[in-house]
Amino acid sequence: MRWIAAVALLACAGAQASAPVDRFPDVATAYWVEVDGRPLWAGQPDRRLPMASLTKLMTALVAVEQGGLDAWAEVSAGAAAETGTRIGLRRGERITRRDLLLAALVRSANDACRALADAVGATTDARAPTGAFVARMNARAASLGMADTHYTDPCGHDDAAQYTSVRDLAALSHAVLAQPVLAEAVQRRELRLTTAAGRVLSARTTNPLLDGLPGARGLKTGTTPAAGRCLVALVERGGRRVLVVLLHAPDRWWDSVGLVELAFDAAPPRADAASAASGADAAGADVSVR
Amino acid sequence: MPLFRPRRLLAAALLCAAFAAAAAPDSGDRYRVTMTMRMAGMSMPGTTTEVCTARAQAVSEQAIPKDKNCEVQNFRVEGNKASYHLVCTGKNAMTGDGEMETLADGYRGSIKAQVEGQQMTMSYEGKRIGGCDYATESPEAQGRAVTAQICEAQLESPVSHTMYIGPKAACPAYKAKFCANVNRLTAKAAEPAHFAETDRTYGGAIWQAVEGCGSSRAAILVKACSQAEASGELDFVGDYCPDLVARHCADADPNRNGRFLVQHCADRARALAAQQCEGRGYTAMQSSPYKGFCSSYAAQRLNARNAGTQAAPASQDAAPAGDEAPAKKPSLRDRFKGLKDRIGGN
Repeated sequence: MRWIAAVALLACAGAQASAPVDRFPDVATAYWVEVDGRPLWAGQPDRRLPMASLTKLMTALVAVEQGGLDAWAEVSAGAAAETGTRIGLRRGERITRRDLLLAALVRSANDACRALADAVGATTDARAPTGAFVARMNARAASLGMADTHYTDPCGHDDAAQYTSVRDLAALSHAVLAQPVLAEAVQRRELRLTTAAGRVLSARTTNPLLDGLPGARGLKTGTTPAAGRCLVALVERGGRRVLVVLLHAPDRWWDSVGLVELAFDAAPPRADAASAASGADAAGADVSVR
Repeated sequence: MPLFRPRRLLAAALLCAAFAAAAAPDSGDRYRVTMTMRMAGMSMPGTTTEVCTARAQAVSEQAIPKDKNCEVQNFRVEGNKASYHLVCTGKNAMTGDGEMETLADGYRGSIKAQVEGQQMTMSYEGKRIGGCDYATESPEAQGRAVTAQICEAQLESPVSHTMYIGPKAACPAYKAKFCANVNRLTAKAAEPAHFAETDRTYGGAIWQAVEGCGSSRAAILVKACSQAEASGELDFVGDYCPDLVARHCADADPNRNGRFLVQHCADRARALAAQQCEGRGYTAMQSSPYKGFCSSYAAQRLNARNAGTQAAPASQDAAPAGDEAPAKKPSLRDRFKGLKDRIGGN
């Protein structure tokens, strides 16, 4: 009977642990903090908000799942004319999808992002590649259960119909991190790309946490007038992982650093140690039945 | 650590324990026993197991399924049938009446009992399917083997200390082996990093095991605190050695001991933060020796800002689609940063 009670207690503890509390309501319009995949704190987790360049996480995921990363892509006029952060691609230039992916994730380059979306989208609809790609983004969001997410643009420009929630972004982050190519890309500090014509482009990450915060592993920054300052940050220390998602966070760097430090301090005992303890309790109880 | 499947092992142990039989030197009878249980109008699926019993008359007190807290009373045999009263005490207390009879190739019986106010009926039937070596295949022998298996399996798990130490230990014969493992695990615990890691991994259980094995957490901690002081590991001092904290506030290195300063030396932390952190952007701190301290301070500041907040469950309400207006009116700082964002936009 004791082991049944122990299992029941663990189940209750698990249920409590999976319900985050709004411990830091002033850090952002919406935020999400989890440790080892278990939500710890959150504010307005399901509120639909603009996401700025955090959009590119889905763009990258769809592109990687499509495959063919070493295929050459030609930079369209639309891609070359992209505004905001750019890496400086020119119309008609050819560059691999892999390099476009890196530029979109590491530098948050909108020209690279659009060129990537068009290259992948063209495999579905050559006449309207961007629209075809966005449709695939929405389909992928639906398959991940991202009920509060909708895309109209592959790179994150403000649009009334483009929104997500921090809970959905956490789910998307897990899907991104499950792709080794993306897990490696999001922690790069620098990149150096070469076009088919031999022109070299280099840039640094937009994420200063990768330089300053011990254990930082990514993932993505985003900023637009409507979205404010946004961030998905992942930090690993001692085998534990803290994921922080911020939408419209006025002081995203210091506050994300603070959230990370506090999350590691507040992290409950590791699940493996807890299960070992409970298993032992059960054994200790039942072996004595004899 | 050996793989441990407590449920499978315990199921086997319980099935074996259910059939006590008289001891016999050499051989026995192997029965295939099927047991069903019915309680509160519900039937549990039948369980079948093979049991090696001493070669004896099938209808006997020893063939009655029961655990060690049960006593058979008023056992009466009439011809090939028997009846009896069963009284169990302890956690699974119950009383019941049973009957059993000899069959041509085995036996069958049933017990009707009251358990927590509910009528329970357990029926069992044993069919002889051959002979067996009672010395090694008897329920007792198999039970001992299972117990040994469980006791061996948890030897390296310090959280299982109650299995090996104390008046209710189920595996007292294994205490020496268990303590040898505990001593091995804590051999380096006098080093601060090892102490902290051990504490984080196993919690208080490891220290109960240490005490049960004759060592002392306090004695180990004194050594660890001394080492931490000597090597400047002040985070450890702050976490585990409260008596030593005050003497290190003045000489703590902000770059190395930022967390210690922020958590334990409020006056100095405030002064340092005012000089080195307040008003500085994170990106401007990349090359500052105070970066680590300011990160710890950011956590403390975040806590302080939200200290009055009642940690309510996170809101589940979703705003309507397309509601993208920021919830808060932008502050002056926000609007100033927004201007910069329009230029950068990443």
